[in-house]
Amino acid sequence: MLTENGPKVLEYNVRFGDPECQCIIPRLTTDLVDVIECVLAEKLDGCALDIVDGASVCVVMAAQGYPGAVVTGAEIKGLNADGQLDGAPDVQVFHGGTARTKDGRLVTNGGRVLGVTGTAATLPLAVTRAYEAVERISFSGAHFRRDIAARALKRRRI
Amino acid sequence: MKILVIGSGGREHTLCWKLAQSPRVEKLYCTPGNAGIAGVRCRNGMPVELASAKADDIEGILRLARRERPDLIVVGPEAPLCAGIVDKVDLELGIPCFGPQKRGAELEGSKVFAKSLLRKHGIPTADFTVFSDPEKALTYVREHGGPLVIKADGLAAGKGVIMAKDAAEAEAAVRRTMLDGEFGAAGHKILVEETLVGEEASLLALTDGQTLVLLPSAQDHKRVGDNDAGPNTG
Repeated sequence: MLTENGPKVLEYNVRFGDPECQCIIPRLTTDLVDVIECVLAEKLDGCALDIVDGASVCVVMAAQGYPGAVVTGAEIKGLNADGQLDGAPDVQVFHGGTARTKDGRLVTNGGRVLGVTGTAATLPLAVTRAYEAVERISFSGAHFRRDIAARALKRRRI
Repeated sequence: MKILVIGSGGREHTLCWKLAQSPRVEKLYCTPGNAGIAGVRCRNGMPVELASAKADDIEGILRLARRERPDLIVVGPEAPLCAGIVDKVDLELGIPCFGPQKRGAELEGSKVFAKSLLRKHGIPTADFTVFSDPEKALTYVREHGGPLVIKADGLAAGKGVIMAKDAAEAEAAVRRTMLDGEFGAAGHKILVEETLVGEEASLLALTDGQTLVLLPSAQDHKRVGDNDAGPNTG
C-alpha cells in the first residue's frame, strides 16, 4: 500500500499473483523454463529477465453472482476452437473458469471466467485492445469492470 | 522436456501458454486445468494434456507425477504449497519443483507469521494485534472502535480479510471469523489491524533464496465494481 507515510507491506504471496500474472507474463520475453531452472539451481544472480517495453492490461470477465455463489454452464460465444480470439494477435484470452461440454461447447465453470489481456507499446492502446476484445466475447450474466487501469492512465508515463 | 503444471485458473493458463513457447518443452501436463489450457499447444504441436487431480489433492498429484515422470513441476496456487507439496515431491520423487517449501510458504499460509516477521525486521506494515481468544478480541475492538481490519490467520481463498468501519462491524467480523467458523480453522487466530489509506500495488519477484529479481509492478483492482464499489473479490 502506498500510504502518505511511505509504502507499507499488506501481505506476502508465495506464488504468482492472479490476475497480476496474466498481465506481467505476456511482457516477459525470456524463456520461462530457463528462468525457473536458474531459480532451482540457485543461480538467479546470473539470470537477466527481458521485459518488453510498454504495458499490458487484463480485464477479468466474471460469472453471474461473482464474488458470491456463481452460475456455471453458460455458453461462451466469440472464441475459436482453442478458446482464443481470431484476428487479435496482441490479445490473449486466459481462461480461469471454463469447461467443454461433451458436444464441444465452451461454457463457464467458475467465478473468474476469462482474463482478457491486451498488450501494446502504450497503456492507452493496451486498454483499448483489452476492452475491444472483451466486447467480442459474451456469455449470459457476464460482468467486468470498465475502469481497469483508470488510475494508471491518470498518472501515466508509458 | 516434460513439465507438469498444477492448478486450473487464469494464472495456470498463463504459465502453460508461456512454457509452451519454449523450444525446450516437448510435452505439457496440467492438472486439473481448464478448457482454455487444453487449447494450448507446444511448439511441436502437442496439446497440453489435462489430468484429473485437483490442486489440493497432493496424493493424486504425486501418483500422476510418479506415472508420467515430468522433468519439472510448476505449482500455481498457494494451497498445495502451504500443504508442503514441494517438500513431498522432493522427498518422494526427486523431481525439481518450482515453488517454496512448506516452511517458506508459511509467509502466505499464516498472516500472523508474516506480520510477526515484518515487525521483527522493522519492515513498514500496518500496526496489528494477534488474538486467539474471541472474548479478548471482542473486548479489544469494542474499546478500540473502527475503522479496523480483521484478518483470519490462515488461507481463506482470499476471503478472510474484513474491513470494518466501526466497532459494531468489527465485532461482527470477529464473530464471523472466530465464533461462526466462516473460514474454518483459518479463523481460529486473527489479526486486528489499523486501516491503511492509499493505492495498492503488487510487486512480484523471483528468488532463489539469495538473489531477488523483480518483475514489472502491477495494480490489481480487487473490488468487483467500477470505482472500487462492492465487495472484494479475493
